[in-house]
This record gives sequence, C-alpha cells and structure tokens, in this order.
Amino acid sequence: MTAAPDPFDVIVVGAGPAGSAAALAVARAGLRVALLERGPFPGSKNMYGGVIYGRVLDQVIPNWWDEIPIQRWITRRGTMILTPTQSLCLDFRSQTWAGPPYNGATALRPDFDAWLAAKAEAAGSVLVTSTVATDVVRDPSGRVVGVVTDRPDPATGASTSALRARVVIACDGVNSFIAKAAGLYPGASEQAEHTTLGVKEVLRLPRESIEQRFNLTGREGADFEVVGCTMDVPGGGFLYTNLDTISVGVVLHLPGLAASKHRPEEILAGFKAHPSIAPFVAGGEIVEYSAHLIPEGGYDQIPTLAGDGLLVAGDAAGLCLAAGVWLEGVNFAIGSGLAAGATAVEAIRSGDTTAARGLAGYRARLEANFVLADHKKLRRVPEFLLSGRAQFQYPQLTCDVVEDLFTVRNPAPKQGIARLAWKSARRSRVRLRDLARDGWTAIRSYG
Amino acid sequence: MSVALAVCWKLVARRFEVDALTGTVTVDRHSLGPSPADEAALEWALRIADAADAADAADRAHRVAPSDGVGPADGVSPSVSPVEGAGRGVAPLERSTVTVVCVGPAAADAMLREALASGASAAVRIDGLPDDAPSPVVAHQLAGVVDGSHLVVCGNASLDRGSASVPAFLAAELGVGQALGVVTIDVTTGVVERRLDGGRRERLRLGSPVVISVEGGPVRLRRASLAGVLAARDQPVGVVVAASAARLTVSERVDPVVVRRGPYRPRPRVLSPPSAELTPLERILALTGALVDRSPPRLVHLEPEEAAAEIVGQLRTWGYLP
Repeated sequence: MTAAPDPFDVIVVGAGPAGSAAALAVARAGLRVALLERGPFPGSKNMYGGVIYGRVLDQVIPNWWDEIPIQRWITRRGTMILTPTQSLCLDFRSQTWAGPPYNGATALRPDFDAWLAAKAEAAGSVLVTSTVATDVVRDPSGRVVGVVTDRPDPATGASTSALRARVVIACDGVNSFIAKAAGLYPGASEQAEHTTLGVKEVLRLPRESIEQRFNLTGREGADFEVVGCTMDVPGGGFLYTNLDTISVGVVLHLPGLAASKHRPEEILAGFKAHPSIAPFVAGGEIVEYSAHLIPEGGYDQIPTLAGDGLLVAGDAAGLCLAAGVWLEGVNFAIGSGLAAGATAVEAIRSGDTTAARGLAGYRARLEANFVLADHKKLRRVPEFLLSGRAQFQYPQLTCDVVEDLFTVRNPAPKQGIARLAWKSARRSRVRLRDLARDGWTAIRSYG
Repeated sequence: MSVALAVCWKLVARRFEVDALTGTVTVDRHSLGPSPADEAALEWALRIADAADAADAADRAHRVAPSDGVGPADGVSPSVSPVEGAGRGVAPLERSTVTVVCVGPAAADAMLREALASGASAAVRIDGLPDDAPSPVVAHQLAGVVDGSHLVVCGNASLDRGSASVPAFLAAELGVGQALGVVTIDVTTGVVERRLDGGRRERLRLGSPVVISVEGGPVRLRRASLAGVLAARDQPVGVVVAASAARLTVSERVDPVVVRRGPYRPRPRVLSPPSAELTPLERILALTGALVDRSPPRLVHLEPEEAAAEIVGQLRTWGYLP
C-alpha cells in the first residue's frame, strides 16, 4: 500500500451535510481538501430527521433560500400523542414561516446533499464518490495522517490504497468507521444502548391530495412528530410532506426493539393504520423504504471529538438532537462541520494538529454555539423520553384526561380537571413522585 | 504489437420509473452513467490492451535476451523499458491505446472521466446530436472518430432504448466485420463466443479491424484506483462537434471466421398444470400428451450405416446437432 503522490491538507470523510460543510470551510480558506463519499453521489441515502433548519447557513451562504433545493417550507408543525384508540395533537401554524428567511423545510437528501457538496466543490474541494474510507493511517507517533480507502492500488496490486493529509475530519455517519478505527467510540453494546433505528416509507400521492389532506397551499409543508405509536418499543413516529410524496416512519430504541421481537415494518404498519394517521397516508404508493441508525444519547454520550490529526462531526459525533418537540440533525451536522473545518484550517496554519493544542479549539467552538449548547441544555431529555413513563404512561394519562374532559356524562355533573387528572393518574399507575421529578426535569430542560 | 482500441459508450439513466398508466418515463438524474454492457466493453478492451502489451513486452524481451543472457528464463521480469529497448536496437515499447467515445451532452464528461480513471487512454465526446438521434446517425458520427482502430468494442445494448443496433450500423459504416452479442473473449487468441437466437452459441476468430458488441453480465469494469480517479479529474475530454465528425476512411472488410457453432438446444416448453377438477388419469394424459393426435412416427428400414446417418440427419433437423 502506497500513499497517493499528491497529498491534501484535509480529508473529509462523508459528503453529507457535516462533510460538505467542513469541506466548504476548508476550501474557502484556500487549503486543499478531498471530500470522500461512499455512495455514488452525495445524499444517495435519503434519510434524515424530517426538517432541515437552514438558519445555520446564513453566515456561509447568504440568501440560501433562493437556491436551496427544498420540497416544502414548513408552515404547519404538530406534536401528536397517540394511544391505540386516542390521539391528542398540538397543531401550530405560522404563515411567517412561508416566506424569507423561512424557518425549516423538507427536502430530499439526494437533492440537498448534492447541492451542498456542489458548493464545496465550487469552492475548490475535490469530491471523490463511490469510495469508502475503511481505516485511518497513522504516523509512528500515532497521529492520524490519512485514511485507507477501498480503492485498489495498481502499483502494489493491493485492494486498498491510502490517501494522506494533515487533518482528517470524520463525517461518515452514526457508525463511523474512522472514529471507531481511531478508538474514539465506546463499545458496541454501549453504543447500541443510545442508538435508535429509524425506518421510513416515502409514499407517492397526487400533490393536490397532499395539500387537501394537510391543509396546505403552494410550497407550504407540514411536519408532525408523534409519541406513543410504537407498540411496546420506546421511540416515536414522524409524518411530513414533500412536494408529491409524504414521508412516514418510526424511530425505535434498539434494545427495546430487540427485546420486543417485533419487526420494524410491523410497527410502522401499525402506525400507518392508526385512525389519526391512516387518512393522511391512504392510497399512497410506496416508492422508497429505508432504515438508518440515529444517535440519540445526547450530550452525555458524545464521543471524544478530536484525536491527533482527527476531528469528528455530524452523526459520527453523536450530534443529533432528539428532544421531543425538537428533532433536529442536519443543522447540527452543518454547524459541527463548519466548526471542524475552521478548526482544521487554524491547526494546519499553526503547524500543530494535535488534539491537545491545535485541534483543541473544536470543542470550544461547539460549546460556544448552538451545537453543544443545545445538547448540554437538553442533556437529561433523551433518557427521559425513552423511559417507560414518557413512552407509555404519560401518553395514556394525558389522553385519558382529555377524553374525560370532553365526555359528557349527564345527568352526572362535570368534574374538575384536577380530579380527572388524579383519577387518570391512578388508572395509569403514575406515581406522583415520578410525575414531580419528571416535571422538574422538563422545567430544567425546556424552561 | 500495440493495438488501438475504441470503446463506444452512451450516457443513460441507470434508474428510472415508468408510469404504468401513461407510460411516462421519469429518470433519476443522479443515476446517469454508462450501461453495464458499456462498462463490460471497456473492461474487455482494457484486458485486450493489457494482453497485447504483455505479449509485446515478452516478445521484445525474447529478442533482447540473447545478447546479454538475461531474459525470462533467468527469472527476470520480461518487461523492457523504452530506453533499454532503444539502446539495444529495439524500437521503444508503444503501449496499446483505449479511446472511449460517446455521443452525448456535456453531462457525459463525468462519465468519460470515470472511464479515464479506470484506465482508458483518452476520451472523446461527440456533441450536438439530439438525445433521440436514430441509430444510423449515431453510428455515422461514431465512425468518424473510431475509424482506424484495430478493434471497436461496444456494449450490446443500452439501458434506455436497448435496440442493440448501433454496433451493427457502426460496422456497416466502417465497412468492417462484426460480432454481436459477445459473451466471452479469449484475449490471447482473439476467439470470441457469442450468443445466437434460440439459446445457441458460436465461436468466432476475429480479424481486424472489427466491431464487436458485448453483453454486460460476464465481466465487471475494474475498480478505478484512487490515483486514477484524482488524475482523471484533470485529463481533458476531447469534444467533437457532430457536424464535423465526418468519416475519414473505409477499412477493408474482414469477416469473422466461424470456428465452431454449438448445437441447438431448444428451450424447455412450459406446460400449464392441468385443472385440479380432472381425475388423476385425465391429469396424467394431459401432462404426457398421450392419446392426442400428432404427426405419426416414421418407420424406416435401413442398413446400420444408413440408419445411423438418418438418425443424425433427423437430430440435425430438430436442432440437437450442429
């Protein structure tokens, strides 16, 4: 195995939002950067959290909304609580989000990722597709100085070849080969404990049907996050509109899924059949089915973000915010990618790419902006959201209270909400002590 | 002897959807690239070029070796550098060339760079023809670029239209022989095996120049090296405007020689299962065709040698023997 004769200053592994943002930052600083993508094109795996929040792009791509290839601008945002026979929806709409500078949008990853990668290429990045980085290359001191790729080396006849650079930025997703090879990840079982599996169907429907069903016009879009729809597996569901398709899926806690013996597609079918969801998806033709692992451990499970010659960003760094009312990943990927790129540039210019000095500014950058600040503020939420109380008891309790509230039992007089809540709590076996503790957690996190 | 090979590619959408009601085809623009058969064509061309160069190098080593006693028999690599060869009165080693030619828009340049990364020597794109240009027109434009090549290798059929007619038109334009539907190529002997109608195969020994079209299944295009991919980014893709891509010369036609033609093996007949409402006997009769009127058997009384000839002749008539 031999090194390529023309080394780069930086190698970015993965041309997703994090990788392209990192490559963009490095290329704009005038350094040579290679952007390796394992798929045949950026975004070839169409999986993400549902909504792309582009505010993070304001500083790097002015008026990005004029050119970004989106499907619909989100103007309707809902949070649903389901039980097998009930549903409660907090449905919010704002026409402010229907015009510049917008808030969030749905997009197809092949379009969005290709657009962002093209920005990086236009800035000078060298995009190499269909190339998997399988390992890191280290110098005698142990510093990462490149990656091993799955492309052959004709000079030696080896099936792999190396590419060298002064800094490697790993943006290769939740199951990062590079971060693993560099020893930055915990053990597999610990990682699985804080990982969920997202499964998604893209259903084709006539555009008019989507707009009628979701009460939308033009490029307006809707996004619903759902809890209590995953049988006995902790997790959640989502439903959002594209232009002439809708995406519906569930997110399932891996250990819970393994223990339940249910198949993901079975749980998704149950979600689609729920009386509150079925009318939205009726008659949709499945044009895509996909699955993806999601890091949901939050702040406390974020791995070491830098090694000597190595930075980790995006899903590879566990930077996905799954906090109930907020389910965001792409913006955190872009934010961390930009920070990683800027840090790499500084380190290379200073001549020190060690984790202790040259690359130490990466974490400080992330702590100073929304990426780690949000994760830190909501650090207790992921564990709470995947708990049995949040998944099963509280949805039942809430729906029971509302059902009792709206059920007319004449000639019996109406009961007060406090009394209804007390009765429902006893029926749902919710202990006041747990309720108080979880309420305090919610206030500290969301307050 | 080094050889000049040309490979014809076409830019197609490798993923697309067809609306069952309207027949409208929607292509996935991210999937643009060569058809599997086109990729196989390049792989075969690269193998043929490698084999020709290896044979050339071995031949040169054989000619050089007697003067200094060093040669393959001594366990030394048979390759001779151009400088060494020149110093010993041997002409510099001229490597075989593989030129990939494509009729298509500028979007095809990325695809052609993939070909360069995989080992092609040069790439030429013929610009200015509409997407739905008929095969004779495409072949005429290709002929203007590939004429003079020892061998032109095409994919058997593209994924989009798939008429498999361009290679035949191209051979006609060039006035050279053709071998279409090739499954395998012996790169050392030049013998190819191609598929015939009805499941038959035949082997052909090819002359030169010749046009062949290959199927996509038997070989896969080699994976480009990282160095190759990076180098191909800076390699130029030649662009020829269609109107000026005129045919240059007409080569002397050399028809392939049939080496062997395999026996005709008729495909098995599909029999529908008899109705479950029939009795077992009726089902057996339906399956075997017994008691059904058919051509009566022919009874002949011949001497053993004549009888054998009669049987062989009948088998040949039915297609069981060549």
